[in-house]
Amino acid sequence: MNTLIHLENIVREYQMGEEVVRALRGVTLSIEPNEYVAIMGPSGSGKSTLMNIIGCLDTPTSGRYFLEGEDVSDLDDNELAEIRNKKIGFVFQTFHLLPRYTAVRNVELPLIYAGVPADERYERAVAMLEKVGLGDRLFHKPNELSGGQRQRVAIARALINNPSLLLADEPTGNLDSRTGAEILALFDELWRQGNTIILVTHEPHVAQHANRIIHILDGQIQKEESKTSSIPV
Amino acid sequence: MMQRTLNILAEFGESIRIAVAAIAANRVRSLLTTLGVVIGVTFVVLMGWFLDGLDSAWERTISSLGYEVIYIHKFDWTGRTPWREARKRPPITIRQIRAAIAQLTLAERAYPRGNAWGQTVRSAENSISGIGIIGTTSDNDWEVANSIEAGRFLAPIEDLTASYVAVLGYNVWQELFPNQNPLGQTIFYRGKKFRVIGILKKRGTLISDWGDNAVYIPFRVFQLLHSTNFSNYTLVVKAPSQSLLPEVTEEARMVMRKVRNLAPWEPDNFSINSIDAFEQQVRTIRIAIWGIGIGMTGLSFLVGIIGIMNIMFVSVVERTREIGLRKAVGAKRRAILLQFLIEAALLSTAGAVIALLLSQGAIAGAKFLLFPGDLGFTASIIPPHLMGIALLVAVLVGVLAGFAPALRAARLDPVEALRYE
Ligand SMILES: Nc1ncnc2c1ncn2[C@@H]1O[C@H](COP(=O)(O)OP(=O)(O)OP(=O)(O)O)[C@@H](O)[C@H]1O
Ligand SMILES: [Mg+2]
Repeated sequence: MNTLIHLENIVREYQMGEEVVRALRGVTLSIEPNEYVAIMGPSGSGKSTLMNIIGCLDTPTSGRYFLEGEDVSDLDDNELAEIRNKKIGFVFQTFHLLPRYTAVRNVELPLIYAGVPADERYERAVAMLEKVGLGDRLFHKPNELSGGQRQRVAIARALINNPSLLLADEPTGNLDSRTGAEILALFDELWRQGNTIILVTHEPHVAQHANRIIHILDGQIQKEESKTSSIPV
Repeated sequence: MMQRTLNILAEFGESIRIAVAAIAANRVRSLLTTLGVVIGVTFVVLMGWFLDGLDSAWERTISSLGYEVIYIHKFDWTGRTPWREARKRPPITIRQIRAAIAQLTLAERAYPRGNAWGQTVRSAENSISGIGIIGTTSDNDWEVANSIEAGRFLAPIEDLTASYVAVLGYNVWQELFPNQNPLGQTIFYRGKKFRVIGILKKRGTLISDWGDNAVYIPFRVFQLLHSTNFSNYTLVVKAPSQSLLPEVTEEARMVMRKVRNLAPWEPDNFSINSIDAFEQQVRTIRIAIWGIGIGMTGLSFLVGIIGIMNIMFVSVVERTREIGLRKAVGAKRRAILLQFLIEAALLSTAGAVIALLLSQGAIAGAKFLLFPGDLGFTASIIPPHLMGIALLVAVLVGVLAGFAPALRAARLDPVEALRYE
């Protein structure tokens, strides 16, 4: 089967005035379809930077990135937007829902930029919200939802375009432990249904849900752990 | 291609929804922002409304004075020869006019006309003063060709036989015979009875509403009623077409000089009046209005553009995270650009709509409260083409004002934008 993600010696540097901050110092990594990967590491180690590059939100200073065999290291802004729209779903720590939009409208958003007609958008968004267990909260706005429910809306939005890859940067970071566990259970379920998931965390018990854990330190992969399966209860 | 169209359609719809929501969420701020546009559009509309009125009034003036007609008269209509000087000229006599008419060869028609201003006429019950008695012949019928409300204009025989008949202008008819049919009724002027044979529609021209305050009677009757040295006779000469007017005018000048026994070195002691003189004045008014209007409008739109641009920059900053999110889920630069351009255009258009309402109010106020009657030549509802222009200008102003902020939004880096606090 095709390698989903192949990173070759990825370097990402930030110019801070005179100084060069090296957030990633040569990361080489491959991820196959339907893997469930956790990226762990201390604060400032480069986890988010790596996620942004994998998610095509950012491009490396040097190195090659092949997504489903296509070299995406040097694409321009618009080409990256199209790839994000078609292949990637993001879940953020702070949800990033549009406050004035209902759950359905928030979930529809990626489909708008994919040019999907309005009634199809609506139907798909409703179906996806039902899938994440929010069938009875379709027309609630973010401030009328709990943190866990908000994150479910965000997950529905990430899944709406059937992405090849689901990226979650600290998805439980803003949730209490019980709600966090519910969200992780949802991820487990999505993984079992065939989705590829990469999540960033610094909590070991969260990482335990994945079947592969990558430890990052100072912009480099320090070590990897593999398990044959994750541990849903 | 198909997909591209779908994309743009979806983005467009989304942009309009976003814009409406954003403007609605900041109503007061939006309103203040559009002040410049409101003032600018109000100027454009009021200016256009007035000039439109001026044009249509001018059209009516032309049709009642005639583009291909000259009026040879002792006095100059527009004062190119000062009244004080013109007063010293010998009167234009009926004998001279008759002699001139006999010698003109190029004119389509030439006929005498006498005007007596500030006259009073009466009916059995009512009376009206300050009106103009116009003594003329059936040849003058072209002037009222489209203005006969009922009856007819003077007939040739009525001049030849000096019949006491009259054609009433609109105001005279309204004053003397309110709520009754004036045809066949009698009016009194200088102690004589006149039978009403025709009434005219409202004509109100740009220069004045003399046409509505006039009574037309046969020239020979006019002659009988006014003293022999009456000095206000006019020779009206109508050319076959406007293009022949210069030749006709030149011939008329020569003939007039001859019948008034002028030596070659003496200047004309009569004035040749035509619509031309007024056209100059109308043009001057137009230019003045445009000059003032364009200055004010330009200034207002400049204020409008700066205001909208400013608020759009604020809006881009406020919504940095939203922009980041939209880009993260696949919005291209074009989509973000479109979103903010549409918001700016909509803001500006909202200003234009407010301006249209204000203008309509101002027009109604001006017509019915400030200058009743005087603005009769103007429309009482904003003409549709002005609404179109106003909205178009507003969209243009919005796009112009929104461009720099929209470009900034479109170029935001998604990672930076998402992290923005
Ligand atoms: N835009 C930027 N400009 C300059 N330096 C940056 C920028 N973004 C990240 N960095 C630096 O790169 C390094 C890695 O940052 P990154 O956000 O990837 O860390 P992280 O592992 O996600 O940390 P955390 O767990 O706190 O989220 C840090 O030293 C950070 O200061
Ligand atoms: Mg991070």
